[in-house]
Amino acid sequence: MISADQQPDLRRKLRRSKSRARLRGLLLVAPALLLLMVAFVAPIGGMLFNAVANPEFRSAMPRLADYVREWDGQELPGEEGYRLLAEEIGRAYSDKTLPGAAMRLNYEQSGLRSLFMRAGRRADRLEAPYRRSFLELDKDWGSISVWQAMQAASAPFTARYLLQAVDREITWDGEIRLVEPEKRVFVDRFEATFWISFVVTSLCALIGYPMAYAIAAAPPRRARLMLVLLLLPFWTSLLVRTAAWVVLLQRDGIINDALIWIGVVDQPVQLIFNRLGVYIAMTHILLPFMALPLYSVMKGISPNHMRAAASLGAGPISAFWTVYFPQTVPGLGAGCLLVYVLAIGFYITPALVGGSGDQMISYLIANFALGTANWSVASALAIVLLCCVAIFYPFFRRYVGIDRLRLG
Amino acid sequence: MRGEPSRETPLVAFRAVEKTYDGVVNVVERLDLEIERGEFLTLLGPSGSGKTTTLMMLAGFEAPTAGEILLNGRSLARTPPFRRNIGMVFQNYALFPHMTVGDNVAYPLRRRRFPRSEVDTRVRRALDMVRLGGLEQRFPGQLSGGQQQRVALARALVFEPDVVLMDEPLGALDKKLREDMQLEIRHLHQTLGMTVIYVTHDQAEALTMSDRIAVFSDGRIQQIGSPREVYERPVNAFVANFIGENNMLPGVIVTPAEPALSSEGAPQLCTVQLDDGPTVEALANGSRRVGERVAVSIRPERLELAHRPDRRNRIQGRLLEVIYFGDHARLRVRVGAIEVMVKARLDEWRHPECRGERVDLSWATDHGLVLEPAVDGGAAA
Amino acid sequence: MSARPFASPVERLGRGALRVLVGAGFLFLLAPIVAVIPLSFNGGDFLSYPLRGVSLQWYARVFEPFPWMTGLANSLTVASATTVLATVVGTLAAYGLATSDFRGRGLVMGLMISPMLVPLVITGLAIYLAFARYGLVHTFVGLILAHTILALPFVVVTVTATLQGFDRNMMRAASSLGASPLTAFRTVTMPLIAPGILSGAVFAFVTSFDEVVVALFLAGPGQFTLPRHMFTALRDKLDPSIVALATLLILVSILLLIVVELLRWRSERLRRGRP
Ligand SMILES: Nc1ncnc2c1ncn2[C@@H]1O[C@H](COP(=O)(O)OP(=O)(O)OP(=O)(O)O)[C@@H](O)[C@H]1O
Ligand SMILES: [Mg+2]
Repeated sequence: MISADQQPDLRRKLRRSKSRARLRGLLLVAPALLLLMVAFVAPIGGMLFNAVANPEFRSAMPRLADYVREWDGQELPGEEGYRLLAEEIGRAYSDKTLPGAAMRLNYEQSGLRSLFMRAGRRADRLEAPYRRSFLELDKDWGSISVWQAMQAASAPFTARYLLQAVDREITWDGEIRLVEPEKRVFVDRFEATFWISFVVTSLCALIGYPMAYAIAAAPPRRARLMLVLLLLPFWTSLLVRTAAWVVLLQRDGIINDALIWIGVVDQPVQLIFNRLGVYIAMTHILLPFMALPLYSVMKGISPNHMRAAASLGAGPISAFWTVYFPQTVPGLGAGCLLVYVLAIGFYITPALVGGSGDQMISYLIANFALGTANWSVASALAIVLLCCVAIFYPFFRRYVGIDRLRLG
Repeated sequence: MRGEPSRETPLVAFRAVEKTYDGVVNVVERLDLEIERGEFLTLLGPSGSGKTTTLMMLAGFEAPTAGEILLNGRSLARTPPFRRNIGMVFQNYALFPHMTVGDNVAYPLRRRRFPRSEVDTRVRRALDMVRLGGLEQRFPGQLSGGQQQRVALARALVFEPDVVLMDEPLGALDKKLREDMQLEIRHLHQTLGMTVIYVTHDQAEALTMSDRIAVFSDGRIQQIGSPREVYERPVNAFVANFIGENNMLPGVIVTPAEPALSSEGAPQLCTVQLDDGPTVEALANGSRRVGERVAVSIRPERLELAHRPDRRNRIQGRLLEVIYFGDHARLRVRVGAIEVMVKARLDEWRHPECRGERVDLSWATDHGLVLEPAVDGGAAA
Repeated sequence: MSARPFASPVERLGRGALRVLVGAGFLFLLAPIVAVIPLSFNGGDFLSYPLRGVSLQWYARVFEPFPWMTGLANSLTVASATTVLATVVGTLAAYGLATSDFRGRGLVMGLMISPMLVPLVITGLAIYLAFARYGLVHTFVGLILAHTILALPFVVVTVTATLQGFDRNMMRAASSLGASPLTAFRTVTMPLIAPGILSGAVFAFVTSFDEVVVALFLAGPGQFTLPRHMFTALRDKLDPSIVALATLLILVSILLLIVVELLRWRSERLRRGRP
């Protein structure tokens, strides 16, 4: 053994002798790391920034933004404020930055978009006394809430999009509250997302467990074949599988034909473009992610354990629950975690086989981004969703690890 | 250092070498070791004692955290493993599974850019040497364990390295094959005259094969010497217990060695009062004080069963058990508070089993060694 | 297993139930894929049974230049570039992670696999916002970079798994026999892990070839990939030619699956040292 005062010395020697191997490892990892940083980590950071950034108003009308930041918010600004407003609106209109700013102000208070755009179009007709001139244009310019909206839009950062993503809003005096019932769309979607993911995970576990068990118990050649069959859907394009389900489950599809032929129903039933279709198609797609980790754990369980349990007096059922099942829990946990995390992010499948009430949060994100080009709300929703996934990340590293991610 | 290494320079020298993996514990502590050209040195020790680490440092796969290693008098610190010209046989052979036996053996020659014809003749010669001629086209997976082992041997020898390192090369073989291979390696060593550093934790293997044995424990060399020295004159209780079987009779020094009779370094005779019996005489390595607690170490095969009044060293005990071994029998005998093991020839022990019977044991004076008392019996150093 | 005369009725019932359950599971997995194939030869305009005659008309539609063949060309361009990039970068990283131990190794590993777990819409949106600044949106380069990020985890996971089965003594042995690190890698490591790298490459290819969400964000009409066209087609109206296309893609998947299986088999044989 070594005395305590020698230890730092020992550590230093150790570090020196290891540093070259480390350097080589780092060099090999560097290209991948660089790529990930540039094209993944930085963009996600940028998106986070995007969700709280508040640049539209400030970049269009910087001097006015500075002015309203200083303003006390109690009573309408004087002539000075309206003069600045006229100048800035005119300039922003001519260099085409006004629409963005007007759009941003509209989030604060609806109607402001048209108010500002109209003022922009007539900016050359605005003259001293400016306040009167504005009020002649539209009497709304005399309302204090317009200036309060400008003040909210002038801060460098804003929490409004993040709050909006969870159906909250912040009032002008700093109170956080639920938005009006008819605007509460996001929490509902998050709940649907979690619920669908939960149901799909449970279905996968129920179907996947016996399948994995059967493969693990089969003789090697048959097990190989079963694994290949299990993997075939996994290798098939997601769109192909979704298309196949649409074809099978439609009103005059095979499933309905079969149900009528058996006599279970006498009218075709709606199997698709509703929640049922989403459950079926998603379970189909995610099943291999449940069965594979389960199989890899089950394969490692020696048959002698069950034999030992039997020799010790356990019947087949009690041997299963007391000896076999506990050993498969890590695989079950890994599979559930994997399926749940992947399910939360689903977009394409629900979009193609679900009804409007079955869309998941990814759909809204894509819609805000690609449909209405509202990048701020899309980013805020993405951040909230990312947090929901990140919660699972530590468990993931611990229970799934890189081995059980191996597919095929 | 330049020029021809002088006769006195050892082929390999470890100078104050230390190694730690975690910065907390030294798994090799201040190792000083010299290995002569042509020597067969065995590193012997329990699991985790630092044997593999020592080999790995010499081969260049681990760097010492302190000290230096010299080959032919030159420091190896800046020489990467592939320029050290040290052959190595790994425990699981590390044969390249995607190459044939021939390609495996040719590998070191091709790396050294030997001409093609030379490669062929050398490969053939090396395979003949390990009695695997004609198997060049096989793949390692198509060979038995013993054959794979011999391919590994041929591959490590074919480029005539300065030193061959073998890390438990026979660990994976069954007993019979192991013994055959021990002889084979021994013969190869004698005919080729190469230098071998051999790692094992099998003491019988170490005794039969080596010129010298270095006994490792906790990262230190406990004793280094010829098999005979290590077996018959262990310097401490760890070595005595680790190599072969051993009985330890606790006692107290009555008369230390007579200084007049002792020459420098030679063992000295002293008298010990055993805790559970009479006073006996035994050899001590260093000087001992009167009243010092010691243990007298005696090999089971050195204990004789007959009543020998002519001998000065005699003890009595009661028989606990007789165990039949085919070529000999072992007797467990209780002597006072301790138990001793006696190896008896079958003709020496003709009686049927008689538990509780009184037995007389005696031994020649120079077969008893005075060592420090063992802590907890077993492998404690 | 079958000859168990002492099996209790409960046990037999259990085994029977298991068989039925497992059979149903496989039916569920394979039925849609199998059932869709005959429809692609349908002579009529409807995607339902019974078939109205057999024809190859929908296949003819698939091979028309627009949209499927241009989509295919774009997909192949993007997927091949992605495969090369992801395989090279991912293999180097997996090798570095497996053979050396530096601080933050676990973190790097976690980072490498995270694109697999982050919802695709988030990745697509984030990359879109970032690439928009550099003019990479609606370019092949942008799409290829994004797909490389998505494919990287598959390569890293596959190659890491291969390297875990790789005996480090093998490299040491090569080194002690006189091979420089580069030579040792070329002559020993590379041949042994090549099947693993190739299956990583197949994974990378499939990841890109099937990807639609990120393509939705990053591909302009000039880069529309096959899945991107399929998404539009599925959303708008179920055109029977899509079923013909699906059948062809299923054949491709079967082919790729066979390739990966062969690679695995090859890798195992190599490991065990058999020809
Ligand atoms: N790569 C490593 N990293 C950390 N610790 C190690 C490493 N290799 C060995 N050790 C530790 O160093 C000590 C000595 O190990 P070493 O392998 O040299 O023992 P050994 O004498 O060869 O044992 P065995 O007979 O079991 O092979 C052990 O405690 C072991 O746990
Ligand atoms: Mg060892």
